[in-house]
Amino acid sequence: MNFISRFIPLFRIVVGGVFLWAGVIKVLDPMAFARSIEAYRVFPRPAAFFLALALPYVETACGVLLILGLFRRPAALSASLFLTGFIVLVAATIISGLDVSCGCFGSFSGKADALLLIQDFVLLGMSVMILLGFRDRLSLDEVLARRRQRPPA
Amino acid sequence: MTGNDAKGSWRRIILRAVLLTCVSAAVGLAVNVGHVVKYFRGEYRLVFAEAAASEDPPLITLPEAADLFAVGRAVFIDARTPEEYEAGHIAGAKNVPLYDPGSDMIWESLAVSQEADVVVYCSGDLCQDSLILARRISRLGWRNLRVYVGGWAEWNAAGLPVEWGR
Repeated sequence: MNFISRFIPLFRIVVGGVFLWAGVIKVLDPMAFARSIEAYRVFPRPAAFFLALALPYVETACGVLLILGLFRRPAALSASLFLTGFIVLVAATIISGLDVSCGCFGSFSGKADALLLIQDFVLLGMSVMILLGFRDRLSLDEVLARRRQRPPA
Repeated sequence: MTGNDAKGSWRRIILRAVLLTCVSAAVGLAVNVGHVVKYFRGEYRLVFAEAAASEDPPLITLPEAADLFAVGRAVFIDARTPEEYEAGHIAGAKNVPLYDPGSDMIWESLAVSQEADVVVYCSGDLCQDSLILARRISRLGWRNLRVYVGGWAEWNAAGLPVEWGR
């Protein structure tokens, strides 16, 4: 338990960093992201449109909260669900033989391929570890909790 | 921690995750209210792009590139280096190396009609040279440009017609 605890801050920075980066790039160009979603040919056009406007902000928020360690477990839960969704989507894409860019990082995106799937699984693993609620002394959650417990001077 | 406490803490986590997701999604929609209004006025029905932002040549995938190739009217342009081109390229493609200082002259020397369908490609995967070259050709006045995203790697792997040498 203690051993895993040491890695939780690292996991938060990695998962949070990826979410923040991916989120901000899409916040800056929502229409490009809408085209990426559409390219997967899974969502109807209106869904692709509204997802493209809303999703990047959720990603960004999760990223910031994870990096700070504030509400880290709820943020990790959202992140895990997103990653699960991405994994299903990319797996379906690979199975159907559709050749699309993953659309995850704007113009930096790679193909939606097996490598991306592995990356997502690694991120999901880290995210689930954060969600499970190991001690994380560096997180803002615990810093604030410690401050609250300290008797008034 | 008792079982009930644990259950309560999970319930709190789920609730906060839902709240976090809803609030940030709402912020996203609020910030993009301009896009939403345009959407309900009927914009973005054909393509998710604003007219001003769609100067880039369209990106095409393997089936589209193969169709254009089969029709035989499109000019294929290889944006890679001469060495890469000589080692193998799409059959009939002309080499206009993006990083050659004289690439504009090479392009002009091909005397491609301004009305012709032009398909630009590079190595595939993550290469950007095809798009950059296509933008440059577009600025020179050609309009019917397309960028074949899969590039040489995908074309060759698909077993479509290729050739070697100059």
